[in-house]
Amino acid sequence: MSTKKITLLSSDREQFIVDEAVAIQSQTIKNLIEDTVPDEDGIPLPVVHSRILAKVTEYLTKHANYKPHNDAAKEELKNWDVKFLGKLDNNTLFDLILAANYLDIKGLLDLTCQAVADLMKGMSVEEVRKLFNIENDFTPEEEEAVRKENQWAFD
Amino acid sequence: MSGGGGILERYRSLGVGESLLRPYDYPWACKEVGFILRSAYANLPKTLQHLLFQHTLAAFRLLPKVQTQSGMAAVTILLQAAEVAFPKQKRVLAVTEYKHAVVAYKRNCKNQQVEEESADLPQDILVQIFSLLDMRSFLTAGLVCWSWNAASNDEKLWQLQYDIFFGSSSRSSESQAQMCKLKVNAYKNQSKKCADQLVISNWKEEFKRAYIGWRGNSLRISNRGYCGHCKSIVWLSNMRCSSKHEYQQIRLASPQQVVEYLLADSIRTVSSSDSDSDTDSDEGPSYKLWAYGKCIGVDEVGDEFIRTLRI
Repeated sequence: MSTKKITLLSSDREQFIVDEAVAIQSQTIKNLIEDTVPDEDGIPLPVVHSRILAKVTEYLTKHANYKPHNDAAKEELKNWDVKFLGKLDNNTLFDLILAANYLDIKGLLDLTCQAVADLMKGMSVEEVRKLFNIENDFTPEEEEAVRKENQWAFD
Repeated sequence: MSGGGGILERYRSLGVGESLLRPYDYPWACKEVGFILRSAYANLPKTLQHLLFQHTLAAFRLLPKVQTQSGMAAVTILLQAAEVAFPKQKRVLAVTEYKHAVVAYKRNCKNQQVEEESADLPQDILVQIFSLLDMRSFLTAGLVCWSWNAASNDEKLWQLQYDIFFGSSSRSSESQAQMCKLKVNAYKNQSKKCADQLVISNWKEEFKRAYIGWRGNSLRISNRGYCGHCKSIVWLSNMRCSSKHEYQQIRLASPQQVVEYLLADSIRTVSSSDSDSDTDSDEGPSYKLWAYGKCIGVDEVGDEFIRTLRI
């Protein structure tokens, strides 16, 4: 059994030591291991903060050690995912999407994108802006024009 | 007419209680309870009346948790229905619960803390998120700001919507012919490499055209449908049921049809998207559908639907 350890280094230089099998679920990390000479301290991930990397490794560890063979096991893993998401505040969720994208972890990206989609469903424009803290850069006239252009979908 | 047990079972199978817990289904569930209260409450067995009362109270209590404008609007509709349907004592209790909920909702509106950093998601991620939303939700998201607007007009997104609604295999021969023409032109004018992308140059326009035609003779977009695969009334997400069965298996169901399903006394088939054009009037096509129910041809899925109703 391979128990080779990989050290990941967050943007704030915190070390995360995980099994290689856990780490290489990230395509980006896999490429980094293959293509680069490792830093003494570990593989640097300069855009992922330790707060987020902790969540990423939690997810990867669960999913590496848990290969579901039947429906019951699949269901259990699904429930674990739901609980995992339930513990995140919105800002962490957004950061986790960015990290999953950068690290190229498809499962985590799909999971977090679905969670954000569920948050947004049925929300008004104002509510979405508030949720993501996005400034409205439309003029009132422009906003009205876009609204009119899409009216056919709401009739 | 079937006994109280059967109707209670059917109500449970609608999954109204659980859907109140999901913020995105909450408004639809509120409206559905409201519709059932208005159109059927008096004729229902006592046990189901009680359950509907409990669900109404639950809906009010959950409002401050859901905390969206659409939730608030739906709760108002539910309250109006509750005031009409419930006897005095229950009505008083429901109104009290509603008032508490609205106070809490308004307090939350004031207290909502502003998030410090904004989530600056790249375009491809936005498109991925939008692809998980229904069309109206991502068009609404397109009004947030310019960069989100660009994402909501993404070609892949509209191509996906086209496939969801109309299926890539079920194109009309006319549009297929049109496509061939476009393809030929594209081959003429462009290098071979680009040709495939140019088959349809504007998927949003293409979708809009098809959608408006489709809507003309079918039910309005609804969050409820009959899934031929699950053989039950299900919640829809982007025209799919929760078990991800595709649009081809889904028939939209109007609130009236959900109530009919519940009562299961007069059985009608759910109109398929390609049904006749008798129902293209502006005023509540679904009502008209019911009136003509027995005349409408029963397709395979319709047969299944009826059998389920009779259980």
